[in-house]
Amino acid sequence: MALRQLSDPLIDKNPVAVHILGICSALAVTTSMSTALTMSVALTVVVTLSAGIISAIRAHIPGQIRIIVQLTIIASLVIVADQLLQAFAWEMSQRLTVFVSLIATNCIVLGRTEAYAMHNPPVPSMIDAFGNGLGYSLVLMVVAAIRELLGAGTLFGAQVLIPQAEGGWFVPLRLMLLAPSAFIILGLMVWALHAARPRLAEAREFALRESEKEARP
Amino acid sequence: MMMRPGLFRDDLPALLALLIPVIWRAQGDPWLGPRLALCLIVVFGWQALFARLRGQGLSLHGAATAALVALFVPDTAPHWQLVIGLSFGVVLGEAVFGGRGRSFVQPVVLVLAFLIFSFADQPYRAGPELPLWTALPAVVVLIATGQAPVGTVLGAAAGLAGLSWLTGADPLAPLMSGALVLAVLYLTADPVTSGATAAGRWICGLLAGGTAALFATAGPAFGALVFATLLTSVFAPLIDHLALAVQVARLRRRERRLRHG
Repeated sequence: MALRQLSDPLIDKNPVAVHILGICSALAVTTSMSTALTMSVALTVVVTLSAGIISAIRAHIPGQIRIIVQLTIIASLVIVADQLLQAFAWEMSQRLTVFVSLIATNCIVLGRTEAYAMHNPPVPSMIDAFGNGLGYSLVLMVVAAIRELLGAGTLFGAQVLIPQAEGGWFVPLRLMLLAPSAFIILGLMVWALHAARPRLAEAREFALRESEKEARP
Repeated sequence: MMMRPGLFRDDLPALLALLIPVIWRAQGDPWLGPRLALCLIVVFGWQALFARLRGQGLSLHGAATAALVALFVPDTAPHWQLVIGLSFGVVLGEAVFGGRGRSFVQPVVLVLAFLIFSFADQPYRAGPELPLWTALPAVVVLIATGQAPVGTVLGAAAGLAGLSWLTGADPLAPLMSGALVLAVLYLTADPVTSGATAAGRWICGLLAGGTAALFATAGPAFGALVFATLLTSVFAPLIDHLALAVQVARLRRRERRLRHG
């Protein structure tokens, strides 16, 4: 049970690739793997701790103001994470700009606390939140690996492919360092996921006509 | 694998009209022939693969895609860049949506935009230098067969000339370049991606031409037109939606007036 809670959000219920949550930050910080890793760790810590705290006091939260209470707790944890990052990793916090503070508005965090932690005991809530944090991290790391490798020829800042300018054969794809490439890679990932797990695909909004009878006047 | 119908009406005229600019350019560029062959192999390879996966027929319009790319890229373009760009444009711009007629971007536009964005070392923005007369057969053939909607073409010409005049450039210069006229006909006025309603086509043309003239103030006109076309094709469904809503509202008003009048 606990293992399924951890493994389900990795692929089958992945918050980014299946539920399409947290896209904004996932696309913004994936130009390099080190920023993506920092962001993943920050989000996983925040979502796990906030799920635990909210679950522990869930019986005392009045239903009508529960979102405000949840957001207060989440925002406090985000500020702590942001301050810790600024204190111990100043340069990384400069590269991440506002995106660590924006974890407070990340749909994954509020979604897990609202949908799961409000109705379940602390330990399962934290496991569920941790699993979702790992699912988010998995997507971020894969997208960042593709973008950094093809865009700059590096992984975690270490030169893997030597660019042509320095005597190698590799020509960096500049598109990979621009925002559209993140959308394209994520779209291809969702496509591959739907191809591998057909029951995840949504029903067609418009049915296509049979290709044999294509009407051409 | 069967061929789809519409070969003589849709695919061949567009191809034949491209023959003249291709021959003209081949005289000064010995690599055009091999480049065209490579483009044809890549485009038809992807199209055959997707046609087989989907159980569809194969159509000849991929030849026009390949010829346009081979014609529009600079002669110094490395072939591996063309293979990557073509694969990207044909697969993500057309094949994944179900083939010609179901996509929302022109694959050639996507190929060129990808090449311009990714490889700054090659002058993909510049476009080829073609005299105007090489594009004239395409004007006649595409408009006569209805493959370039007149509204979009005229709208794009008006937008280009009008905004060029407003920004202080020569308003007739963009209409005197064969490459730009071909790009307007084949890319901007692609019947699939430039709006489906009569009003929507005019607005799409004006939007593409106008934004192209604005973008051209900061770079070559050809690259400006490619990006303007890409932008317009994203807005085309919205423009069509609005045009239909206006039309429906007008018909409703008329119906009410007739009933009560």
